[in-house]
Amino acid sequence: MRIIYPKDTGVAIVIPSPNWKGTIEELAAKDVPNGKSYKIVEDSDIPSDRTFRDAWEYQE
Amino acid sequence: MSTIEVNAIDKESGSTLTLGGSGTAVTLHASATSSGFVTDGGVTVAKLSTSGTEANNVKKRVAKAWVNFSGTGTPAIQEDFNFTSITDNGTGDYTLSFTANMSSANYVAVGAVCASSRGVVSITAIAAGTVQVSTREGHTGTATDYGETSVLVFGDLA
Repeated sequence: MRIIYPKDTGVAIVIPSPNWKGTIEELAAKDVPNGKSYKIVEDSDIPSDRTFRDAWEYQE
Repeated sequence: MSTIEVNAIDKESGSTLTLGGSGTAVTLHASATSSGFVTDGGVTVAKLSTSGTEANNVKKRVAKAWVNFSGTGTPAIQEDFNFTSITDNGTGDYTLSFTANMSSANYVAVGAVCASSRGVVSITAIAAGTVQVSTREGHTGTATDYGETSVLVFGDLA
């Protein structure tokens, strides 16, 4: 699972450590900046081709 | 096997008490309790010296966090200690979040990339709960993702 949230330009993607033992919701509460809306998505929802990574956008 | 039951064993002279000989494993019974010894797997930061005396202060000399992560393909932490996550902010731009926070932003963080080119790691933001790093091609300054990036943190935990 991944957590995505919008930045001023683009999108940030939070990737859990393999040592993280909590839930993805608990990780979002800890590591997503306060006040940011976020979504929890499947790993496969994130493209592996990063050629245009800085052009990715967050969609509500 | 024979058993000796005594309340104390002490040196006869000098300052050293030697138990066993070459090739001998000296052990405590699994259910025995002990003090003054650190057993296998029993070394924790809490057990390291917190003495204010520099010579005894082991705690300050231990890395408080480290990570090896991949920034290419699907970025991911490969191995780490004391990080909960890595945030992919964009090409060559990552934020690492501590499990146990540092006491302040006045700690040391250093990084390196494993690359045949001149890749460099910069610490771009530092806070008690996170450290942000940027990876760039050293010659051109172009933000670049690398297959292996390492970050090491020393300082005081909160």
